[in-house]
Amino acid sequence: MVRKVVYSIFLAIIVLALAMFFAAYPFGKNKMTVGEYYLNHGVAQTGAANIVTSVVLDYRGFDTLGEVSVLFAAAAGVAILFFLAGGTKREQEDLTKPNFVVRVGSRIIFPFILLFGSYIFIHGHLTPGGGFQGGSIIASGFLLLYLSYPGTRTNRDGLSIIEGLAGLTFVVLGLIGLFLPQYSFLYNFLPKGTLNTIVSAGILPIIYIAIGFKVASEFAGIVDDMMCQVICRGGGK
Amino acid sequence: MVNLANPILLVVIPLFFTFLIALSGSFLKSGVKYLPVIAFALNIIVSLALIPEVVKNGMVIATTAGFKPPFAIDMAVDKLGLFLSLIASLLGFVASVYNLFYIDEEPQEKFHALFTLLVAGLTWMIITGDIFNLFVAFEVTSIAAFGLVGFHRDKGAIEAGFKYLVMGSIGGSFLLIGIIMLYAATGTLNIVDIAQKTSNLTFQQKLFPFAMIFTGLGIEGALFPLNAWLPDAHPAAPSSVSSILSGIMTTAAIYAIIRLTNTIFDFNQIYFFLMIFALLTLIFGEVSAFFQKDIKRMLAYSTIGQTGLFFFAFSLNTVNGLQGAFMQMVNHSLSKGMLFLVVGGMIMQVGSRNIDDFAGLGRKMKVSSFFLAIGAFSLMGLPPFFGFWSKLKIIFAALQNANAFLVASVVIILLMSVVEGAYFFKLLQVMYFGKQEKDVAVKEASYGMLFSVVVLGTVLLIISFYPAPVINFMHKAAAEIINKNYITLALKLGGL
Repeated sequence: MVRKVVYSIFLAIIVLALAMFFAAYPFGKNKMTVGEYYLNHGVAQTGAANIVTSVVLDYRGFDTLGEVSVLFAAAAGVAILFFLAGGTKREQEDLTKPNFVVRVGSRIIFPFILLFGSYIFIHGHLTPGGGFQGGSIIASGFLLLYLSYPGTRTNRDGLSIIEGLAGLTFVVLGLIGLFLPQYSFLYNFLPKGTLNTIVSAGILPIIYIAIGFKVASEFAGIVDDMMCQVICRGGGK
Repeated sequence: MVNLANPILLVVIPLFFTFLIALSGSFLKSGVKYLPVIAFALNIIVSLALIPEVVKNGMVIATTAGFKPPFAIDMAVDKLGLFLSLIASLLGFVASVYNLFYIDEEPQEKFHALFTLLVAGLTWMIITGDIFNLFVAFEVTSIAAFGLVGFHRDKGAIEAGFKYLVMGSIGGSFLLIGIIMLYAATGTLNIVDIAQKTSNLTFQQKLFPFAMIFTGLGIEGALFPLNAWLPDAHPAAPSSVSSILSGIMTTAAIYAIIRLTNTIFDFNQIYFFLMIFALLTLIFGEVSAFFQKDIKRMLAYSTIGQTGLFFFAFSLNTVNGLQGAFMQMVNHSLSKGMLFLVVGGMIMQVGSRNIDDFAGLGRKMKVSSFFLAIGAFSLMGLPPFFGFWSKLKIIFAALQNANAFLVASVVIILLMSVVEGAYFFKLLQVMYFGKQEKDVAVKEASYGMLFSVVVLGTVLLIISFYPAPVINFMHKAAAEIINKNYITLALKLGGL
């Protein structure tokens, strides 16, 4: 009881502080010094029709490399915690078999999910969405497969090879910038192309495709690890 | 040929090797363990290449994406960032050599990838010139650390990892809210750009973001009362990871607080408040360490105490105080990093973390025990070790403009040094003069593990006997922070 009162008091203080602070900055009032620059120069400087992508991948691309690493760390952390001491020995527990509609339906829909996810990340520099979103959509397709066919196993070695290759693509594309006269990491060295076409914005679509593969393989790995906690037996410590 | 003196390489090289580990894990198998060693050897080279540049220009700035800050992210390394990144690279290298002989549990490739990422994230926090980038680095560091703390997957490790996960995530949220507040107030994310725009903010407009950021970084920096995760997480992690967590992670978080407090939140009213936090942290850490039976727990509490000490020195807000803080940071990183590595080897031999089981080790593991003693003496501040110079500096700095409160603080610091001495001497007494009841076969740790310990010990001994260059360098670094050279230099060199 005393604890709860103390907690509520602290929470009230935080809420009050936040309210007091943000009351000074009315919504919609133009305060975005940097944001305004992006809006005015983004398209011309990066060649990406999607202004969010130009910020996320170009101006603040180094943050995105960080976010990619964060996701990598999270997936690796899950893999460590759910690692079975028996290694590859994964026995299956009998689960109730999902019914016919789920099995057939997921088979039909799976390729479309892959297609949709790929569309999202390939068009990341043109339309809303991008590598993270597209990758998650593809991973959701894998989740569907796991649900309808509990025996599904993905090739984990293959997934980590994709993951590593995609990450390396991002880093190496960035490093090329250091060998150019501009001498800047992640410098967009490819021609910008025509605005609003698929081959435009230089290295941005390549990075987004790499991120798409990376996110998809990482999420699929996480799903695989978590499914194994349910259906694998005989492992553990 | 690419110019090596580029701070961005300090982050990008380890990231490259992290992804290389993921790529090659399936066919190189345990061969991936050599990749972190290469990565951090390269990082040491880059840090060394940065030294002449930083000494010449005062700062090195690297932009990204070919745009000028504040529109793109930049890395800015001044003297303070330089020596911390050098220490981070050195500890990363030494600990990854240690890992070659220490980690035999699966999944190895995940461990080495996360380990590389952890040190990369810490270096990243130290060298970034952009406050949101700081948050990203903070996230990389903490999320890599969550997995590594739980690596052994026993009950204690999972519990410690989970506790750390919860507290670390809350800390991250606070940090993010603080950054959002700063962005709302100034419309920019570059540290120098924010610093120029905060001068016309009211006290309240600066206090709220400061409180949020201080809470967020304070959790990572283990300031009392935000440090409940640390005494569980550091012992539960593999020893090489504990060495990094204790050696650089708290230091990096305190570094971020120092950097932001001095550049962005330029107000004097809070230093007294910070000082109280620092003293509480010091007392809590050292007194708790005294009562520990588990050696790694004892070292973890001692880390809290040491953090309190150098945070106290920082809160004096004078050149001498900051100089003492930096010296103590170096001393703590090297000695505590080394102690965890030594202790890891001993635990491997003895098979227990209880101090009583360490009886008689001084005769059986002569080299390890010797370096443990050196590390302990330096942490206590015994002459002629480096810890003596740093503690002396802190005490003199506190007595410079002494008032009753500062004199009382100095008395507390001295008392806590006595407590520190008591538990370390107790440990050494057990090791050298204790009698082992069970007759266990104990050998010296393997040469590879000893190599790591000896490297750190040698560096510590060198700066103990030739402290003048280090002390002078720290003095310049501290003067630059107090004189706000970070801002002027960044403006001059195109960091804005």
